[in-house]
Amino acid sequence: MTRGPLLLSPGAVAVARALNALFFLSVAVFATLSYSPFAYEQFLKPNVVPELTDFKLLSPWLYWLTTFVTLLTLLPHLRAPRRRPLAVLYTVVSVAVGLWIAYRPPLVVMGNSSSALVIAILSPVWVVALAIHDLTSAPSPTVRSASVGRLFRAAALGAVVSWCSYAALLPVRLHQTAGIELSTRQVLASAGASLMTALFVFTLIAVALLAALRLARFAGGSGAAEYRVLLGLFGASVALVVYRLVCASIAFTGWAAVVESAVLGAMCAAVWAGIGRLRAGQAERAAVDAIELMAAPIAGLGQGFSAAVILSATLLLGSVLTASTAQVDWNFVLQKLGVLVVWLIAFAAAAALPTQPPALKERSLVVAVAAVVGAFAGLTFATRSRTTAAVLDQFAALDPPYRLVRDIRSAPPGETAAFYAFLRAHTLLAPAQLRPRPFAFARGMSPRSGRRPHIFLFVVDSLRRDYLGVYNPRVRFTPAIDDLARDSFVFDRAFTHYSGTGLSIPSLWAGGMVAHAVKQPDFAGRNALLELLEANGYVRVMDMDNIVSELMPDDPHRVQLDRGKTAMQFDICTTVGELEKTVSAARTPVFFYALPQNVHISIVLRQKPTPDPVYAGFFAPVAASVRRVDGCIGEFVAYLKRTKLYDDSIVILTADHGDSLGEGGRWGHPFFIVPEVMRIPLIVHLPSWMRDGVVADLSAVSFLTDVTPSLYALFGAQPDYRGPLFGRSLFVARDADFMLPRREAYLVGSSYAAVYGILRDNGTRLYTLDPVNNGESLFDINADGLSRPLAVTAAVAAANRSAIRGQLGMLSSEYGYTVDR
Amino acid sequence: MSQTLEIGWPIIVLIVGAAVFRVPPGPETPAATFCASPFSETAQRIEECLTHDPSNVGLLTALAVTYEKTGRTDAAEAAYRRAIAVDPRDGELHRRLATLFSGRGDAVGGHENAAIANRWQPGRGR
Repeated sequence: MTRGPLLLSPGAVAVARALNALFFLSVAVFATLSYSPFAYEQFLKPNVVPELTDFKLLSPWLYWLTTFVTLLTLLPHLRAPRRRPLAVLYTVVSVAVGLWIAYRPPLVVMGNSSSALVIAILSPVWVVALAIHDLTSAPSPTVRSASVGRLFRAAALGAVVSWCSYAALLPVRLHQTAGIELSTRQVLASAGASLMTALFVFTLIAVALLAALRLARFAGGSGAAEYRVLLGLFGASVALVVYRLVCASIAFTGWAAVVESAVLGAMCAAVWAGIGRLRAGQAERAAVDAIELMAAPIAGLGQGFSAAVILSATLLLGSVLTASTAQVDWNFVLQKLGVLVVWLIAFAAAAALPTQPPALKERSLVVAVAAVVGAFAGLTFATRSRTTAAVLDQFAALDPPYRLVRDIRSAPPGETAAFYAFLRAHTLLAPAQLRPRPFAFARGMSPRSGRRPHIFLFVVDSLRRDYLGVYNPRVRFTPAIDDLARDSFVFDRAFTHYSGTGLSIPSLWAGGMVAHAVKQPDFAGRNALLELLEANGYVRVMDMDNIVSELMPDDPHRVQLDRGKTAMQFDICTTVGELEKTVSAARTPVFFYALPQNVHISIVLRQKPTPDPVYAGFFAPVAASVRRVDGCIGEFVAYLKRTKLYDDSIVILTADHGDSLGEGGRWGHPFFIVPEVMRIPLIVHLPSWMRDGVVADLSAVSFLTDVTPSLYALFGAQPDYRGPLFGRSLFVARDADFMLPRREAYLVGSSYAAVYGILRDNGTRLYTLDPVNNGESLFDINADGLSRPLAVTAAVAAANRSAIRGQLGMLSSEYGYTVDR
Repeated sequence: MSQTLEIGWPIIVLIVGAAVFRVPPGPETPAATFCASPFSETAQRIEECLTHDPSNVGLLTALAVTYEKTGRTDAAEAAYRRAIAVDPRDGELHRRLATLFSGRGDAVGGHENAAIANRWQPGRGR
């Protein structure tokens, strides 16, 4: 086989193609995020992941670099008459596009528009064109029919290697993951179940490939036809993974998601084929097995040493990928994609081993496959008890491949699928769908007569209650907040209705749940807190994050702090420095609002805290950030006391939501409706002349949405009770019925997806239903904030789904939208 | 092996494998009942619910209230104490227990629980 007219070696060209594909794949992913209103508003606009912004700004340069490397590999083709037209066309178009990109960088200017979708779909086409060029120009190997022995040997070896890849560091993950209570015996038994599961999955994949190969062969196809079938299955699998796993996790749905997934699937198949062809060009072989050729992009052809090295490296790859992605993951997407990559590499490297596999008799193969399927069926039967299922559920937090398979296995029954569709229909609504009803938060509201205290509302993004000493006696790094709490109302059972900032902040201002939409149309008419502030002549001193900028674009009575900073740059210490100057100069009462990001997971992971024994038992980066927040709040309180304003101020310290910090392998707060995300701190300091006239039930369930009605009540305008979607005052008359909030069921939800839940029994029972991950959970939350999972019986599911349905119905009536289901 | 068998067995295995792969629904406890609104129920019914959810403070409170209504104050006290053992910070439970003690003429018990209740319901006891 000849080398062909290439300037570089085929291996180097293959690397260049892989880099080319990686760049255009990144462009497609960025453009998709930009097209999705949810991802654009929640990630890109507030610059949650600065690397995405860097990529956007550097994209023209990266394009030219990629194009330069690619054109270098095409130079020899420009001299070959037969191949010249395609190479010239590619070169001319590439340079033209590059000039246009330099003049008007598309990733920078597209924003959240339909042009983002066009770019997302077109950029993979670019890679496909290059792959077609490679396929037509590189020498074509002779492909023989796939060896069944090679296929099943690859499946068995791939299963074992990929299992080892994750099992290797299982003891480390067990030590690092919070909330896992498994004995050594349970871990070993679960790891055995994981190995059996891996063998079953790989066997089933091999059987599916065998069926497809034989269908191709019996249809009269050659080895080349088998290879094309394998490529088609590969592309279809990638498209399915992109659609079901990636698109679903960023709320990108509908025909656009289908097209984008299909294009990316086609791109991967084309690149795979192109690189395979280039690497096959290196081998001096008469004929190549279809499976072997399929594996060529990973380990080449007939390169036993290379395949063995890759297999050995794969033994650790899974654990490395998990360690590097777990904390920055979104809904386990990166970890699940990592598992699929490890599976692919292990399978391909095993298939690339050049030694001839033992000849398999068909009967022996059938018996072996039946044995694996039978063993897996036995495992499923043996682990169906609730106790065993609970053990395996905990183990899934340690073993990403087991988690992936578990999530795929639990396909929803018809009734649940219909309910999922109902939930999705109420989620991420378009502004045009909403017609909010006219709304009066409190009847006959008039300005407060007499003294009007300053109001300071600190909403610390992602602050967990159990990282404050006042809620957790083990905390020794928040002395200032603990001091503040000593003469404040500390609400012990406070929750947010939403597990993300996107909706929890609007709900705070509205004093109740809001329509599930990325943008809230006509919010001015429902902005109860602003109405109260305007009626009482407060000057608003605020940080303008991307959310409040949308909610309150124009406000002549506003003093903006932290000008020139993006939302993710808000640091409470610099904010209160500016605030103190503004308060000192103010002639009217001040209302302050800020959403400092000190504790947000994307911020703390970039910091390296100085080790300190007081952080023992806590996630040190968060503990150190909370300590900084504590210090600056302490300084501000000291300022208030120094200026004699403390007893003339309402100080509220709370959070928009909590955060998962490794509990059950979870990090952050994407779709998780779990106790550590839904519980928040809520500390309210009142001036003594206000405090003496009110009564509160600190142990009753309360919400972030209660803040606004509480301020109304403190200003003498008690809002009417409007049902569980709305907040109620935390402070009530002495003869009020304290039992009402305790008895009610409250809707909770994710800000980002159709994940909903019900909180009931005074905040001690949390039921959640998660269509994204197809899961249903029930938590028992005890007084100390600890939680344990409870079994979800059919009766529990029915009652809570009914409550969700009812309250979403109330919400749709409140916001004037209808859904088909 | 004939062509039909060669192509047939992988397809059969795929069908069987897909059936085995799907997680079967978990076993439902026959007596498991959802007890979200037990406030108008009988003590026997609430006790039945508590066997499935023994740390449910709402249920325990409802049980105590039901016993109080029927004059079984000892049983009511026991139910309140069970609830307080689960959630010692529940001011409402302490307030109710204080009222129960006061009704029985136990001033010390009443005062003790009223003080705890006031810690969690500031202002209420004054």
